[in-house]
Amino acid sequence: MFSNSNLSLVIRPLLVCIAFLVLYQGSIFYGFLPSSEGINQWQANIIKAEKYIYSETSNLPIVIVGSSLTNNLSTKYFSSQVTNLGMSGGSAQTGLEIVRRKRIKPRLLLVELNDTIGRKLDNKLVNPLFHPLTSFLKLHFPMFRQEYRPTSVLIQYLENEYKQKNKMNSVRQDEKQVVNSDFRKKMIKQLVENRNIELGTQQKQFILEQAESIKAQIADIQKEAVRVILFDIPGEPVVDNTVKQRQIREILRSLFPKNTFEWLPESPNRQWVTSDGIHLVQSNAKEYVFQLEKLINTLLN
Amino acid sequence: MLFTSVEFGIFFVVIFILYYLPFFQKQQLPIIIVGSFIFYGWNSLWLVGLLLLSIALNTIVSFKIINSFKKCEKHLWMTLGILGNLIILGFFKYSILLTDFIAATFHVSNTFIDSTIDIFSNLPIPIGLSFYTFLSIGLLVDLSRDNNVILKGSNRKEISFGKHILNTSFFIAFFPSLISGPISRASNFYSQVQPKSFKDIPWYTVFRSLVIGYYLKMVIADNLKDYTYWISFPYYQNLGTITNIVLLVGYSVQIFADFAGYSLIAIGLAAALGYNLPQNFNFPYISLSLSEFWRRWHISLSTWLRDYLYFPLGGNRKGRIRTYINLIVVMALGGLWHGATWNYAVWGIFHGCGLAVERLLGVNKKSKEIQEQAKSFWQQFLLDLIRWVIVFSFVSIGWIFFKLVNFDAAIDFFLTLTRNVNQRLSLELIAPTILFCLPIIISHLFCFSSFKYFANNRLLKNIPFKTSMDLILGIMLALTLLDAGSTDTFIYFQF
Repeated sequence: MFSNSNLSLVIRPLLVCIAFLVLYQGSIFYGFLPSSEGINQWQANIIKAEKYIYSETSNLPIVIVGSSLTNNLSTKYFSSQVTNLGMSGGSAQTGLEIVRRKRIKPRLLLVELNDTIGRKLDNKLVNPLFHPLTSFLKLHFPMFRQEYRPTSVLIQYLENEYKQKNKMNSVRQDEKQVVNSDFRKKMIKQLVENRNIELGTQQKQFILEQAESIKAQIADIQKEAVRVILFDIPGEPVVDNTVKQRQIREILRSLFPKNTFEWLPESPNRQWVTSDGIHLVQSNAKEYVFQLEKLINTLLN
Repeated sequence: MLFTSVEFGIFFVVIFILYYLPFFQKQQLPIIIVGSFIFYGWNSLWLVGLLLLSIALNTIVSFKIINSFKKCEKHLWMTLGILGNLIILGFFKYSILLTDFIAATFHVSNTFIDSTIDIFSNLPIPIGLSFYTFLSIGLLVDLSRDNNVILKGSNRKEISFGKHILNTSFFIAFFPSLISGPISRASNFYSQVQPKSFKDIPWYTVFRSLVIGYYLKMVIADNLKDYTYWISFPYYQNLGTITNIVLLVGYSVQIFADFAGYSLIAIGLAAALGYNLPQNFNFPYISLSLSEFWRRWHISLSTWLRDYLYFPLGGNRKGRIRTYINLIVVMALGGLWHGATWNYAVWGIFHGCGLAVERLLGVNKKSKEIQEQAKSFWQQFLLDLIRWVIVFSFVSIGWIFFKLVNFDAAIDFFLTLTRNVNQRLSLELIAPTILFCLPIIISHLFCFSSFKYFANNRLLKNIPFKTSMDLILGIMLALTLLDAGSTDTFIYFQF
């Protein structure tokens, strides 16, 4: 069939490839290769989802899904019981779909609901995660997971080295700079300007459509005895009080009424501080997580 | 159907098996034609209708040309055929641009224009139309010049209409090159049309082309796109000058890796079916002049423009001024070929002017003279480096008109470069961009004329070429499996 020389020319690089893959998988298996948290937003979202989907422990009692606002609530602030599926640049629909399609369900599911409802379910992210071939490979050979991508591992290593060498400032000091920065003021001003106008008919229609799809996802998940609780994360008060934000809150409360859907009690009224008008600064995020966990514990007990 | 999708993998395996089954050996052309229709209509069935329309038009016209005895008759059919092709292309691709242009020129009422634009905007995007239109025009022009390009010396009476339909459908619809080229020439392609046998497959060519092609697309281009995304409007406004420049270089590499990757995959697939497609890229970023760049970048398009547009316009035979005008006109039309917005025309004019200025100043001749005077290796290297920096910067600046389709945004990008000089470096964008550009930089470096000599005689002197190629291909294949970015469509699909 093949001429001998033709065949050997192809076989040699194939053997190199197999040897490379074996070595790579081996170094992951024996712990020589650290995992990466993702070198960009898209990758970080996938890593988070993959860790949840391919997790070997079936005991993941609490899952929290949402947008970058939820993602901003760092997992290190939560107790080990909570899995954060907040998607930067995404919305709760994506996290909900991941929970819906994973076989083992959590006991409690917290769903962030706010203006990010305007972002659709990210099928480009979700579908490959559940593709029979790739999910089989990722489950049995971790080298195919995003967290072990060679360039990501290398860049994360370089980043850590750089941070260690330059002894990066503490979070507190950085936060002061962030709060007083011109960038923050500019962002808040822009947000207030953009959101002080009423919602258009098309936007309202889109929210209605998305709400329907969320309801369907929740109904599916609830069939498997999962307690679903809706919540919203506080933001910069001046942005939260804009016309559009108030309108969206009202629409969501009417679409997900308290007599049909369980809502988390609102967090105590206080002056929350954000880094860009949307996301809480880390000290506030930590405080919010503390309150959130307290509420969850009360609900669970 | 994307070359990088799982569906395509399954589709190709099925086609490949059917194609080489001894039972179907006489049906190889119909298998590929039907396969091409499935491939093209996978996501949008109406595209098959468009392809059939193009095939019908070009089959009839080319048959008429073959069977015309008088030269003027041949030319008449050729002109009609070209017009037909351009009407299809114009209607599906340039109708909005033309409507806008007519409205602005003749001051037509707004409501009429808006409703017309609405109708045209709802037409589906005809991917690949520009490619197979140029392929077909090439066929008609070549035939009007010489029947032998497809007859291979046989008598015209031996070509039945049925056989001609089969061959022409195969030539136009051949799925490896249908959507984004390389644009084949009838003379090269028709001569290859004959039964193919499994034992004749050039396995190494297939393997090398596919491995390098998929690596360029899935590892380099698909990863870079996550970073070059930040030079979209208005994100670049928040980035510093150096960050924006690095991302622009990243985009230059991305667009090369994306398209060169696609071309190599097409070449590999065609080779697996026993066909040779023309080379489309030859390390374009080592070019030391713009004319050299266009001899190395999208070769099948630039030679097409040269042979079917630049030469018929008079080329460089009608005086200096006419040569400059011809260059600018050809490049402007070449720019518009890429897309139906004015920024593509601006990009083409930008390159056309660059080529004209290069010719006006006699850059290539002067550089040769200076180079001959350069005594040491380092002198020559430095001269080459200066020329390279100028050409690469020029080409990269041009790509901004591709990235930012809105012309105002493109200009604003350059203004931002002057405004944000003191902004901090965004290392989280710069580091990955450089890392993903590195393989392309290194591979180009080894072909860079001055460095090539140094590399071959000092660096790689004791390294056996075959072994290092095996290592490189093996690692590339492994990295494609481990490090592929999120699958995205090919940049050139929109053209």
